[in-house]
Amino acid sequence: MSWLSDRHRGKVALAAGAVLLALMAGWTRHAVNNPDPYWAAIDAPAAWDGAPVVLTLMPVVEIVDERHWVSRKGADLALVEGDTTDLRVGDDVSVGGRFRAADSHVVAEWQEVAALRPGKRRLGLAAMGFLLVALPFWYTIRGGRVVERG
Amino acid sequence: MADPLTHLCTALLPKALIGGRHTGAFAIGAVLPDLLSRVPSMLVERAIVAGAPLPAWSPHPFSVIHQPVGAAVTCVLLACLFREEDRRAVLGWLLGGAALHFAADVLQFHHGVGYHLWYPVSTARFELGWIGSESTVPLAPWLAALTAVAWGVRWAWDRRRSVDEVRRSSAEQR
Repeated sequence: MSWLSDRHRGKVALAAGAVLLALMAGWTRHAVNNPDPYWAAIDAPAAWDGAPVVLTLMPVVEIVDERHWVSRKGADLALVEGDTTDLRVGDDVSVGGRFRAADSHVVAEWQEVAALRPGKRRLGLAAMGFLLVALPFWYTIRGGRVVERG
Repeated sequence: MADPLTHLCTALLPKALIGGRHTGAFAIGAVLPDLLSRVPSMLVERAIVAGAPLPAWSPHPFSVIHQPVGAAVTCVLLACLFREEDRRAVLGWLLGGAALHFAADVLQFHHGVGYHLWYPVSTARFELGWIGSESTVPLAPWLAALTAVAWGVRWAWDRRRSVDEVRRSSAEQR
């Protein structure tokens, strides 16, 4: 594949970088203009009243009382009316229900705690740790290029 | 998504069986969508929550690397870092690893909120929904152990073969 040769490397890298930036810009615009249902509903509550909403793997940041809890995405809060009996702050929960415009709550029809989420995070750290250790055994740098050892 | 250790093992285990070069590229490809997409997004979101002066849209750009086209372009960029004679093979293994990653992810059920696989052609979501999103977690330690055993066998096999080759060439020289 001559387009991968050193002769074209600079141009290919530049082109790939430009394509990636374009994809990122396009996706960001799409995401901002088409937020997930709950966040779209927050901006236009009346239009979304009663609409189905699903929030997946959202952290519980506050338990208000037996029937209300709060989650967060970035700096934005999501308000949920649902059973808090089995919830703890820090749990990751998926919830589906209907949006209620009056108080911007998701009225939960189902809730699912991702009980293994902390374990998943630990596995992620283990994988990253392995890679950090393995990379210097797999590769070295020679003449400004990455070269496989052995 | 499947846990990162499972993703790593889906690459390392078959590579132990088939041997050959570019194990690192295959493994990196298998975790690249999460490593370069989810991790930065998560860090930026935490920074925003902590009060960093970042725009609300700033976690979004990284999402394209967790999509096939964005991941493929990222693989091309990474392959450019390698020496010329390896670049083609490295790109192939990176792409193979990334393909494995997406194949594992779409198996999962996320309550209908699937993955954006067709961007920039389409923003439709897709998931097969055959297993739960945390289903791989209890299996991952066993898979890691099996992968370690497979690599132990691979290492012993390669070592035995190189000793045999040294003996054979010594015998021929005599």
